Order: sequence, then C-alpha cells, then structure tokens
Amino acid sequence: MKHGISLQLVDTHNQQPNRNRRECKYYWDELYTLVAAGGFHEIETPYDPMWAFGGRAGVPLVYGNIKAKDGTAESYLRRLNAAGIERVLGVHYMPGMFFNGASPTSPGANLDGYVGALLHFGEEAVDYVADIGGDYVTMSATPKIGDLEHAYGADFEAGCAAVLKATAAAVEKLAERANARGVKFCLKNEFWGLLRGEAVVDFVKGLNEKVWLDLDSAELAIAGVDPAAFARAHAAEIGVVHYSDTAFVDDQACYRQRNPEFPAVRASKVYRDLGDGKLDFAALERALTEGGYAGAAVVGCRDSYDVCRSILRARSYLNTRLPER
Amino acid sequence: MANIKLSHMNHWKTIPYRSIDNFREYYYEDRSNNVYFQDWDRILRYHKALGYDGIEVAPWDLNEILGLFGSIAAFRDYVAGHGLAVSGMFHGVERAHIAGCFEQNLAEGKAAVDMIAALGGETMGTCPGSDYYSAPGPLTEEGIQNTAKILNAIGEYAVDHGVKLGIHNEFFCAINKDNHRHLLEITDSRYVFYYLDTAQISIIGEDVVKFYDDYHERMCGFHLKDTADPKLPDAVRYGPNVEIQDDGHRWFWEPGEGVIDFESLWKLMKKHNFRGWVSVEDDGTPDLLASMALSSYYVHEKLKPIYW
Repeated sequence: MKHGISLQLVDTHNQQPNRNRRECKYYWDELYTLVAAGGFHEIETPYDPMWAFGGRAGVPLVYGNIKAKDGTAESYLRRLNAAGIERVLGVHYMPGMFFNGASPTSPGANLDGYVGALLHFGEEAVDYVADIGGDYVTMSATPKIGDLEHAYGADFEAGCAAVLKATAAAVEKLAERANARGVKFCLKNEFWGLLRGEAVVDFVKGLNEKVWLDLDSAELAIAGVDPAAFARAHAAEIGVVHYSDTAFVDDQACYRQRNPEFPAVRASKVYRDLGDGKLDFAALERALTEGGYAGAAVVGCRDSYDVCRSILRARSYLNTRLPER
Repeated sequence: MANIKLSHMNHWKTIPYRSIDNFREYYYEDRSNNVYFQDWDRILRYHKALGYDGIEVAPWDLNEILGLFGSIAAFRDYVAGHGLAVSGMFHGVERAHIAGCFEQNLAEGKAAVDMIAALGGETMGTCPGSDYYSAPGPLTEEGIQNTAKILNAIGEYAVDHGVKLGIHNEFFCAINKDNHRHLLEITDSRYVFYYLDTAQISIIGEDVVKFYDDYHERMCGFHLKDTADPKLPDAVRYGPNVEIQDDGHRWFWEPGEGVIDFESLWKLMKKHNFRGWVSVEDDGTPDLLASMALSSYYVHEKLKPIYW
C-alpha cells in the first residue's frame, strides 16, 4: 500500500511558537522539500476556507490562493514536483467555520448560510482536485455536535434533522460534480460530528449519488469503533484511508463539547504522531488489503507540535512497523 | 491614578483551553513548551506578570471565547479575576466606501460595539474600509464621503454605549496617505476619533510625532508597535496581499526595535495630557511571550519615565 501524508500536520489554527511563519509562502515552499526528504511524495492538503479571507494568499489551502501565487493548478503542481512531491492525492475540506462562524454574536443557527458557503467552497475544492489531477475530496460531514447544541438549544433534535437533510442535498450536489470530473467525494465522520462512528455508513447508502467513506482511524477509535473491523466490513465503500493515531479515550463526552479536539475536562492531545498513540496500524493495513482496498493510506499527524519530528516519526514507523508493501 | 493604561492586543491565535488544570500530566504527554501557550489562564497570568493592565480582544477570538466561557460576561469576569481589564476590541468595516453596504456595516458595527460594551471595553480601533488593491483604490470623493458616513453612524452608536470608535489606518487600506487626513477631517469629531497605530501610520508615510501633534484632540488610543519600513512606496502598499510577505519579511516589530521616535511621541502625549489606553501590538512575532516582555521593558523603562 502506498502512503501519502496530510499537510494537516501543520496547525494553522492554534497558538504555537513560530505560528506566524505558517502564514507565509516560504514556509510551505520549504515544507514540500522536507516532506519529500521524509520519504513522502504524495500529499493531501487541508481545504480550509478560513484562508480565503484576510489576504493570506501564501497559505496554499484554498484554490484562490494557489491561483494568486501560481496562476493555475498545473503550475502549482510543477512547483510541487520540483520540490519532490509527485502528486496531490486529494483534500480534506472543512466547511464547519460557516456554521455560526460568520456571526458569533448571533444566538441561532444559520443553516442557509452554512449550506450556501459549503456548496461554494465545496465546488471550488472539487474543481481544484480535478484540475490538479487528484483522486478525492473528503469533507467533514457535519458541524460539531457542540455547535449544534449551542445553536439549536431545546430544538436540538429537530435542528440536527434539518442539518442532516440539508447536508444530504448538498453532498449529492457536490458528489454529482465530483463524479462528473472523475473525483471521489468522501465523507469524513469526525468523532464530534453527527455521523460519528458507524452512523456515516447508512447516511451514505441513502444518498442518490455515489459518495465514499473516509476511514480515519483516530476518528473511528475515539467514537468507539475498531478501525480494522470497519475496514473489513466496508472496504469496498472506502474512498480514502487516514492513518491517524490517538491514545485519547473520550470519558468526558468530549464529542459534545464546543472545542472537542481540546478536551475541556482534562487536557490531552487528541491526535498523535504515528506510533505515539495506541492504534494497531498493522492490523488495519491487513484488514484493508484483505478487503480489497487498493487506494493510498494518508498518514495524518494532525496539528503537530513539531512538524519535522512528525514527518520523521511517521517515516520511521512505516519503515519499521508495517509489513512490506 | 495613572494617565496611561497599558494593554496588549491579542494575537494569540487561537487559545484552545480556558484553563489547563492537569498541567503536569498534559506536559508529560509530549514534554514540549506548546502547553504553556494553550490556555487563557496562563496567558492572562503572563499579561499580569509582564506589567500589562489589560488585554485587547480581536474579533476572530470571539467564537472560541464564547465556546470556552459560555458568555462574554463570563470572559470579562475571568479577565478581571486575573487583575486585568478588556481595553477594547478591533473592528473592520469592509467596503465602507460603497453606499449599498451601509446597512450591513452599520448592523455589524453596532454588534461589535455591543460586544465591546459587554466586555467592559472602551475602544474600538476600526479599520476604515477595504484594502487598496481589492477596493480598488484610489477612492473617489464619493467613496470617502460614504466611508465617513458609516463611521459617523457607528461612532454615534458607540459613544451612546460608552465606547469610542477610533480610525485605525492599515498601510494597505484604500484609506491611505492621500486621503486619510481628509477622511478624519470630514468625520464628526463628536463620534469619530483616532486610534493611532504607530507602525501603520509610519509605513504609509506620515511622521508619527507630527501626526499625533496635529490630531491629538481626536486620539482615543494607540496600537503601539515599531517598524523598520517607514514611508513604504505606494507600489508596495497598494499591491495584493501585502500584509503577509512571501519571504516572511516583517513589517512590524516590538516598540524600540525599529526606527520610530517613541520618546518624542511620549513627550507630546505629556504635553497634550493624553489619558487612556495604549495597546502594545506584537503583530507578526514568532514568540508572543518574548515580544510581550520586550515591549513591556521598553515601555516601562524608556517611556514611562517621560509620562505615565
């Protein structure tokens, strides 16, 4: 199995020393060479609409910024190639900022605004992946449960039903566009979303367009699902796999918190470097292979404290702990 | 009582925890210094330890603040519990030059004022419009008049709620060297003030000391930061995406680390008896804690003896 790496290892949201560098083009230009030096030649990038605003065009996480700096996806890819990156496998698209994000003073939900923005940037993400020759867009399926509870209050159940109905319609539109352009549209079921764990499976089956599953090992494990079992059960429906490690056990209903990736009751790093958590990737890889999964596995060391260390830890783990590929 | 209260503009983007109570356990997960910069409790303690009286909130913090604290009042009280105050919040009026955006801008401006009032803040440093490249500049007289109109409207609401709106230039704004004095002069001085960002105004080509002297009566606060790039050429300031440079070039430095004559400015502040908040803005620094300390040293050791 081929292994790519997600550039989501760069934390672009939370405070760290030297965070300011990540808003500059030079940081990413060098990062590509470091990723390649770590033996990873295929990447996934976050598709994060936050970086479409504020004049941070050096951050290559939305199509508009790539066009601003390189003109075209093809030109950007040539620059990646020169740095040792052969392909952009796909993107992880995160529309959650638009749910209550535009107006933090507004107490209610803004479902129409969320869906409108989701479709706008989602279409952009699909076009970007198609133009750069990638394989997939995986989208964070729903807003955080914590945000939904805050927005809907006593109408939580009805609100979630409305969100899922609107999400289904939007996903079908995006999947139709993706399928027409030869791109797989996948849903990522974070542990903090409405489609957490196994819930995503029936949701996807109920859609009128072909949509694939994103097996993210940490997201499944935290939601109480064995990633290898999930792989055996659904290998034929998996469009992308993320090898993401964790040691986090959600014994504080963290999945319902407003900022679930930073557990409020007892602080812990939810996402760990490969090998730094407790997940069994050898078992997962066996299950995927036996199930006939033929795609790549994308290593995700999300929101790393030390990007270069994370790259090398991942390389070391793959070299020493996984069977011959 | 001091004439000057020292605040620090919050560029800790983003603080994910309210308070890390299992700090040692959390530290031992990775043994890195990252954990020292992840909770409001510690960051507020750094403010207090380094001699700041307050913190200036950024609008991009509000989502996280509301998620962590549940309400603006709870956050305000939490800050007060650390011996600090919220001095104000930054605000930006997008497309201020377009008449059709007046109602939306007014609604957003009022919401921002309400937020500042709830925080117990006093100042609203306000970027008066879009960046020059996307506006696009140069603005027509009608555009400048439209900008003045929306600032007057928000400013009146602000004054009615105990907050002062101060125009805050950005060196890449459509309101720039050729029209910013005109804008200030056509706004209503009862409602629109000036929030002097010392680096921004230097970069657009003004002499900071003279500008302050000329408009000292309109001043409601400061963003205190230094620069090594005064009088930046128009071609650079008016280009696309100039705030963050591809090569990491920094426009802004800690007070005392660039070329601005803060001591002369402080002498004028004494002459004109300035009273209010001065907010250090360590914008673009790789290490906020180090910059907060450097800035505080300069302010307290070099400027405070002149006037405080």
